Amino acid sequence: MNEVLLEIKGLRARAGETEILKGLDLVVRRGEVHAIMGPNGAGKSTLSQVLAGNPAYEITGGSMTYKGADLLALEPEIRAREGVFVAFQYPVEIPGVANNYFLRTALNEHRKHKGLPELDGGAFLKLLREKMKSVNIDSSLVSRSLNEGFSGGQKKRNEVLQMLVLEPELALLDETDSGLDIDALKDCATGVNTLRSPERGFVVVTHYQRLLDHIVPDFVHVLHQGRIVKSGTKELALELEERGYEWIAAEAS
Amino acid sequence: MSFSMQPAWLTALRKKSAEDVARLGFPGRKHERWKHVSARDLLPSTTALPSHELASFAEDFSAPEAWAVLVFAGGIFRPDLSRLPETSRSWNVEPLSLALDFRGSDIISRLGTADPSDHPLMALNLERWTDGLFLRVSEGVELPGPVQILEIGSGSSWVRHLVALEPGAQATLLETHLSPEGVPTSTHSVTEARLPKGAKLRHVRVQRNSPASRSWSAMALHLGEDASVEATHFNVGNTVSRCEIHADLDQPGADLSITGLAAATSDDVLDALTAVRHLAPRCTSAQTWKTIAQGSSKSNFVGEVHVAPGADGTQARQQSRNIVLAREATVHARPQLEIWADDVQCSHGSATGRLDEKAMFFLRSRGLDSRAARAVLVKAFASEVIDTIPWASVRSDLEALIEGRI
Ligand SMILES: Nc1ncnc2c1ncn2[C@@H]1O[C@H](COP(=O)(O)OP(=O)(O)OP(=O)(O)O)[C@@H](O)[C@H]1O
Ligand SMILES: [Mg+2]
Repeated sequence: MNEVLLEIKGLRARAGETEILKGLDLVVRRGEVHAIMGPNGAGKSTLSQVLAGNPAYEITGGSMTYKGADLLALEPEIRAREGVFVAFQYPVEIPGVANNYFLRTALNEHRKHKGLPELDGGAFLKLLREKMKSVNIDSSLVSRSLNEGFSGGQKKRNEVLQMLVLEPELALLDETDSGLDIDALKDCATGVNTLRSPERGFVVVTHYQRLLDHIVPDFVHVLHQGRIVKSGTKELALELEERGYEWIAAEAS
Repeated sequence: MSFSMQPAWLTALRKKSAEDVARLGFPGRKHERWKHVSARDLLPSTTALPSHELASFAEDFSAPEAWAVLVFAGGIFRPDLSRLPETSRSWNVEPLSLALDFRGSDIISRLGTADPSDHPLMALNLERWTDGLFLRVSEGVELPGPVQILEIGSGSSWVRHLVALEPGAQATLLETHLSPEGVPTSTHSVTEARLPKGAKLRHVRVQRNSPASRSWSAMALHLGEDASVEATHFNVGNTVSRCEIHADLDQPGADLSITGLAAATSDDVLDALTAVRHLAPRCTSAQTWKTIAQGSSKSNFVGEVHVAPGADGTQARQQSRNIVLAREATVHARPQLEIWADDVQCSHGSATGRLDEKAMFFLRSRGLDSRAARAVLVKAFASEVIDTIPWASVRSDLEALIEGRI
């Protein structure tokens, strides 16, 4: 079996007074694609935020180990430079920050971290154009303010574009498929599939089986009330589509 | 210009202004408008600047995009450092000291007439001014390009610029106020303009004085029918400074926009006052004032909006948005609305806070450290104002200045 990329053990996290993650376990090895499904409010996005290191969430127990190191001890920017990427469910809008300017700054931070020379404007633009083509993102969006006035689908494509530029080792996509039309869904899936490799690991959070026709997962998990309560292969997703979550809830309790 | 050579009417005007100053006295901090900077703070003792330094300043800060550049150092016009346009019957772009000889009647009828009546520093300026720009543009003419005024602090300077646009005339004015590092200087500068029907003025002022300086600058504006003024003000000097914009919307359809950006750091005190009076129906005013506060700086914005009885159809917007980056830094923003007409749309808002945490976290999650993320967000906040400036050299100067201040 491949090397373990991410190992989460008994993870507990809360926001304010409410405990949201209540002992979550997950192992992602290099080369694998995991899908996480589960009802609204189960804690899927909380897992994404905690993985990225959002200080708004407090870790109250358990561990997260990434490439053998304690991920929880790392600042968000170090996690990112070490290859962790989270495509957020609700991408933020930042007026006044040009998309391409921000992305070049981010890429150069990654490159500095790896001891690579920074890319100048021209070299970056060339790279960006290639990546844009692969997700069919409208070139006018790239010089506009980050996500400001973008449609839902454009925001999601933009998250995928960031992923393609930053080339993470571990990527978690939180409902990147929600609100996408058929073409956008395919483009986003293509984005993930072009990055798929024996070195990289993916976690895709989704409510819809149809995404998994395009990004075929190795494992499917159900997150319910802050824990992974059931794991299986892609057939589990089909079963969930048919039967909903109630039977799982019953099984879990 | 030596005062003994001046025309008799000007001697009389100066004398009257001196009497006004004596009558009005200097307001103390008890006065609402002068809470944070007293008028006396703005009148320190000063040192003159060696002339070779002047020349290099003039060279560094003349905007290549300017069609004409007039340099005033310590309130004295410097023809050797200036670039005047070719003369034309359609305009005058020259120092007031020179224009007094040839266009005395134009000046007599205008000088000091736009000033608010009860303002001691305005009166003091009208008494003491030594020189300034005289800008006249004929009816319906648009000036071929922007006129830059470079005001270099040296000793104490008293400057007055007179803008005389005829009906339908259009002009763009860039004022750059700067002073040398470590040399105590003080500048007192007034720009006055009465805009008749349909005249348009675009005005940009960059106050980028050094820490040892004191500066007070004011605009006195009157807008006639369908006249418009778009004023953008950058307060990015390391200093104790105060800027004021007094604008009366006298006739229907006048349109005023004021945008300000202040970046305060260390122990700067940056004070701003806008006083906008809607005196006629269907005029619009829009004000946005933004502050970035660092160090133990103090920034203040008082925005007075007065809507007179009968000024129906007035639209007046004012907002101030402020980012406080350091615990000791303070920002006070005080809108003061006085509305005496019924059919008006007035709004004001003020928001002061830290940088948006969600945005900070997002940028960090993409690999920018806190410092870099903060710089990106502050730059974005500032760029909303900076990007409205049509000259690349001025934009990049401002960007660098602000980056250096965070
Ligand atoms: N920052 C927060 N502060 C307070 N409560 C929070 C916060 N973040 C999440 N929660 C709560 O935690 C629970 C789990 O939320 P989360 O967003 O992780 O669910 P989810 O599984 O992603 O749901 P969905 O499928 O609707 O996206 C919800 O009850 C939510 O209200
Ligand atoms: Mg969610």
